Amino acid sequence: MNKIELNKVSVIYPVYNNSKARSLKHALSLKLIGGKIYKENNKNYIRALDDITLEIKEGDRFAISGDNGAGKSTFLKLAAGCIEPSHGHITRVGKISSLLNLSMGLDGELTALENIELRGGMYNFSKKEISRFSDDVLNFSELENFANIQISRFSTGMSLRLAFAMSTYIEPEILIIDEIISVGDLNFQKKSKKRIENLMNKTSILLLASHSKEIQENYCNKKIQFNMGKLELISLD
Amino acid sequence: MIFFYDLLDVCKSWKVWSTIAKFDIIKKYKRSFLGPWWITATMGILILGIGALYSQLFKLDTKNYLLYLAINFSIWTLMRDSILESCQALIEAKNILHNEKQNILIFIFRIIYKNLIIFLHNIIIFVFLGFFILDQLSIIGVLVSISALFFLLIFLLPVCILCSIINTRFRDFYMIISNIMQLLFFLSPILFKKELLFTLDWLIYINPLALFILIINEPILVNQFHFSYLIYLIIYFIIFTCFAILIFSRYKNKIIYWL
Repeated sequence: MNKIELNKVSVIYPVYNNSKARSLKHALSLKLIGGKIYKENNKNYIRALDDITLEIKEGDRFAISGDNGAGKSTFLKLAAGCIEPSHGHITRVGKISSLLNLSMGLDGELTALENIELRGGMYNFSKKEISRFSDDVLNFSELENFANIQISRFSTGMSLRLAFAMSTYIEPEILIIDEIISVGDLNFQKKSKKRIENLMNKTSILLLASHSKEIQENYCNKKIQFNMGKLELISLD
Repeated sequence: MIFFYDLLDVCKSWKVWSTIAKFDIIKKYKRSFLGPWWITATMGILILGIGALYSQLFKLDTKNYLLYLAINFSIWTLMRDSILESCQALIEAKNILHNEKQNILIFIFRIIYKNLIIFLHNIIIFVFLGFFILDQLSIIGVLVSISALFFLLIFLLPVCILCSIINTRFRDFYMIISNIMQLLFFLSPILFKKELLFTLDWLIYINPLALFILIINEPILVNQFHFSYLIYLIIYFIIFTCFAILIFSRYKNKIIYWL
């Protein structure tokens, strides 16, 4: 059974950039955008998540909200397994796919086809699977005619189409999305929205960070609010 | 246990690191006329240039010296670049590690595999020269050298793991290591023959990179194999592996916070 369980989890980022860490301006800017800053043994730390206990089970569709720097992205990275807690314990059961940064791993020096092969390799696909992956991505992104062109020559919209098609190929059991629902021009937005909705419907657990109330209500059945690293509110519909 | 679990996992995901390494090389030589053959051409030019001059300085037979340089430079480049690039391996993978759960060993294997591909391009010069220069070639010697090369690749693993983790935390480490590598280049029998060291031959035993050069080149070039070199290397390997397992198991989860 797929699940994510957090037991008294805290995430504390050490601040290593000494010259900046000691500047008052830097400390103030961090204070304004979120995360508790504290000093211990003459070192600076940011407490991005503070003592979180939460159980996420199959069927849960969590909307995650909060101000910039409140802890949303750290929470998503933690759930995705990119980071492990500084304190506490987390259990993840299920195949996780995270759409935290669409352009991750996209290389401007390579062509669209090479980027697809690279990403396919990173998904540990066989040659056959890469070929299927390539057909699907090029077909969906409507970039068949640009397959052998370096993506540094692509417009931002074209790059996003490619990145979106590659990132949404795998059907995970746990899907983690940071603010991304649709990309590209109007036509492609409809298409990408449909693809991600399909993905969200198939997944057994959804964690979706979004500031939009409409998106939260449309796709989620539970809500978490973060404030200065604290999980403040869980409202059930 | 964590280390061996991750090691097994990274062996299963060989397509991941081999694909990334392949594209590292494709990217580097993209749009150039010779492509990855520039690696071979660069090594050829270097060996010819240095070989012609130093064979006169050391009063050595030019042909044999060229052969000696070709194998030594290829091994040295493999070791130096794997170690130096591993220092930056995790820092360069920051974007991926921040957005997706990945086994960090993938990025170490990527570096070693990429440098193995480069080595295979470089060693072509040695094979080419050997075809014309070597009077006789012992098949056993070749097999021993290949086995020693295989041991070198395994040896590089704990060394690169240590370098990558330490440099991710302490960014001065890369500068220290690059200085040490520069020093080791001149202390290792790469340009000169080990016999020139006379009473200073202990310098070889305290330098695992020099030992590797000798256990790889001697079986082919002079049909010799020193078991004492191998024993020293096994001891170094055990020490580095113990440290790598210890550091990896202890700090694996903290690495992401250092990026």
